[in-house]
Amino acid sequence: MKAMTPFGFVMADRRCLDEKGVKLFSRRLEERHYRLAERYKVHPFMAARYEELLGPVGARELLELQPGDILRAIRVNTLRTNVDALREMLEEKGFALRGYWIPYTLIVEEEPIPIGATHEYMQGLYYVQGAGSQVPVYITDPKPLQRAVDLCAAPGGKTSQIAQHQRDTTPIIAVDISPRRLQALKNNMNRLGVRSVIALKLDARLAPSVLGESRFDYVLLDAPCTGEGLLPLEKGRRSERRPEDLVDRLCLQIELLEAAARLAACNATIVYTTCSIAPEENEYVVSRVLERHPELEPVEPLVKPPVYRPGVTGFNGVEFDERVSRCIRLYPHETRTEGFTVCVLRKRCAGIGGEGMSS
Amino acid sequence: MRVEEEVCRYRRGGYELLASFLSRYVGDSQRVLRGLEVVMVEHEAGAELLLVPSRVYRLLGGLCSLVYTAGLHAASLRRGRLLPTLSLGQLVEHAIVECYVVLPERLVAKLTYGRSIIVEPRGLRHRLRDACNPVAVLAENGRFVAWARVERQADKLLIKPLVDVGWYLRSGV
Repeated sequence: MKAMTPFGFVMADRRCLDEKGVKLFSRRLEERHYRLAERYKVHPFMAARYEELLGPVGARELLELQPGDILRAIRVNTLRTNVDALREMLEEKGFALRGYWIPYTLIVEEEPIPIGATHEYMQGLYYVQGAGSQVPVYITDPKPLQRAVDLCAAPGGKTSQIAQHQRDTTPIIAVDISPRRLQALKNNMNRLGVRSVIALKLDARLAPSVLGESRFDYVLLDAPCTGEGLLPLEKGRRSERRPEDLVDRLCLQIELLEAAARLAACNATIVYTTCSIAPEENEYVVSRVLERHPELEPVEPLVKPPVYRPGVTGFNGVEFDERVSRCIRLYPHETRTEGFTVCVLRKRCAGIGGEGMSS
Repeated sequence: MRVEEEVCRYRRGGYELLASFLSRYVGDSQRVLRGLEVVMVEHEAGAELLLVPSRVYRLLGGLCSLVYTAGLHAASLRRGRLLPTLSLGQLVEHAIVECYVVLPERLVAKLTYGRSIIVEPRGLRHRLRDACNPVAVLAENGRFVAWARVERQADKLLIKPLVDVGWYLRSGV
C-alpha cells in the first residue's frame, strides 16, 4: 500500500484550498489503483478517484468507453427552422437521426458526410452540440424577459441556446475574456441568426463591478474546468490528466461563482455547470461559495434528465454542504453523453429585490 | 447603465444605406428592418453595420468600451461601398423577390467551396437585372447561400461568390 501525501504532486495554485480542500487532495493509493491506472493509462490518483466516485465496476465502464460510444448530437436552431423540417432535410441526404428527451435535440446515428459540414449547418439551421452540453440550459429553461448573463460564454453554444429559449426577444450579455473565442461566438451568433446578444470582452470575475450587482434574473456559468467529462472523447489526453489540473482551476471557479452570485438579482437562477464529473470542481466549489453566501440556495432543476445521479455530498472523507445533492450529474457510461455536472442555485431575497437592469 | 451616445463607438447610423441596398432585393426593406436598429461601428479600415433589436441598442451605450460585438453583423463599409454579410442574406432570405438565383444542391456544393461556377440560366429559377450586383444566391430549400457577382458569358452565367456560407467552415473559427 502506498500513500500519496497532501501535495505529493506539484500544484500551481493552492491558495484556494481550505482545510477540507487539502484533505480532498490527500489520498491513500492502493495496489489496485495502480493496476487500474496501468490498464487504462491514467494517473493512479485519478484512477482512485474514479473508483470512489463510481465504484469498481462503474470506473471500468467509464474508462472503457470509446469516442464512438458517446451520442453524436445536434441542437436544432428553432429560431430558424423546426425539428421536423430539419430532420426531413437531413434524412433526404442520407443521415439517420432519432429524437431525444430534449425536444429540439437530434441524435445522429449515421452520417454520410460529417454533420458539421452540411449546407444546413452552414445555413445556421442547427448547432453541433453534445447532448450533455445541452442539458444545463434545457433543464433551467430561461424565459423571455428574464435578464440573462452568460459568463465564460464563448464560443456561444449555450448563449445561443438561451436565446432559443427566450425566442431571441431579450438581451443576453455574453462575457468572455478571449478575443479569439469571442470571434467564434460572433461567427456562431451570425450563422444562427441570434440578434439579442451583446458580447463583452471582459474577465467575468470583474463583471459585477462593470455590470452592477443584482442585475440579472438568469446567470449561467459554464466554468473553465479540467474537461474530465470529455475523457471518453479525448482518449489521447486521458494520460495527461493530473491531480494538479483539478487544483489549478479551483481559485478561478470559486471566484467566478462568487461573481455570478453578485450579478444575480433577487429570486434569480444561477446555473453553475462544468463538463466535468470531478466533485472537486463542482460540489466542493459550490459548497465553498455557499459558506460565504447564505442567500444562495441549491434547488432542484425544473426538469430532470431521465438518467442522472444526484450531486455527491462527500468525497475522500470530506463532507460537502448536503444541499449539493440537488445537483445533477451525468456520467458518460450511463447517459452516453459527455460527462456534465449542473448545480442550480436560487438567490433568495433579502428584504428588498435587486435593482433592475435598465433597458 | 446610461446611454452615452456621444462617446460610444456604437451609434445609430447607416439605416438609409442599408435600406437602400436591401430595396434591390426585397419588396419593402423597411418592413424587413422593423424592430431593428442599424448601428454603425467605425474603425480604421471603414465601418461595420450591426443590426440589433431596440432593447439591445439601449444597453449598448453603457457597456460601450467593453463591447466586442452585438446583434448581427449586417454589412461592412469600405471606401463608401456597402459589402453585405452572410447574416444579412440569412435575415432577408424569405423576403427576397429580385436579384436572386436559385441553385440546385450540386452547384451549391461547388459554390460553398468558394469556387466560381458557370451555369446555363435555362431551368434555373432566377430574377436578374443588370443592376443586380451582387446577386443573392439561394438554395432550393429557400435558404441563403452566397452574395455573388454574376456575369453573362454568351448564353451562360458566370457566378463568382463574394462571400458564401462555406466561409463559416473555411474560416476555422
